[in-house]
Amino acid sequence: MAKSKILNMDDSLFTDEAIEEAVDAFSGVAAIRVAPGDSGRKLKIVSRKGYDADLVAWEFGNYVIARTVEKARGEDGDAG
Amino acid sequence: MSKSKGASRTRFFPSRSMVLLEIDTDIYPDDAVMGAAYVFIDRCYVRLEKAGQDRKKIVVRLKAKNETGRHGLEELAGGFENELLHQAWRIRLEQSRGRLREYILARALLTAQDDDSEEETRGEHIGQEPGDYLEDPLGIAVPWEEKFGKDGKGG
Repeated sequence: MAKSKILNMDDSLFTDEAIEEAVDAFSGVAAIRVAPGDSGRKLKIVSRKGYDADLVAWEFGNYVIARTVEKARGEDGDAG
Repeated sequence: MSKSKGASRTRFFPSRSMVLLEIDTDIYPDDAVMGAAYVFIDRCYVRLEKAGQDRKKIVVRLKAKNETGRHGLEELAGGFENELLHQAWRIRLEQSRGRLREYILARALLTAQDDDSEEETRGEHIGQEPGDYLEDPLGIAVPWEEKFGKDGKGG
């Protein structure tokens, strides 16, 4: 079970807002550090006890895609 | 093992239940890739990353939520490419027919607005007609003092 995972989030694909929302939503299962990357943001996901960082990273990615698309389409409902 | 299809290149990793597609953004715009990814997030995990010279390619990683073999991954990749085509076509239609749709919508709203104001005007005329609420056969509108006197002992 992986404890940490690095993710690159390209700013031409994902919005900062969606990434921030995802960081907030996943704070219960992982500590996420966001730093500027080569073409967007670089995230270090350190999973909390009992959670697989690899799986958290996949779920995190799906969440960011969903929020980016929903915001772009104006379907901006409550994410919680 | 990899498979090239011109617009995209596909590689399968059955041991990790994952398939990797390289999409050429000259053919499929970013929005089409995002739209297809959105459709697939219920079915599998999706990761998107820009790659290649001038960042003109998007690497799409699809990972099945449950363990799956080569056949399952092929289905996933094929489905994603079909969805990609659908999304790209939708965007192209949106660009070419967008103005026409805006015009039809504006026209429909304008017509609805005209109908509303017509009804309002008709309503004003009805209000001016004699009878209805202006008549007070039960004397409800008559003040208490006027009806029973100032000491209010009339009833």
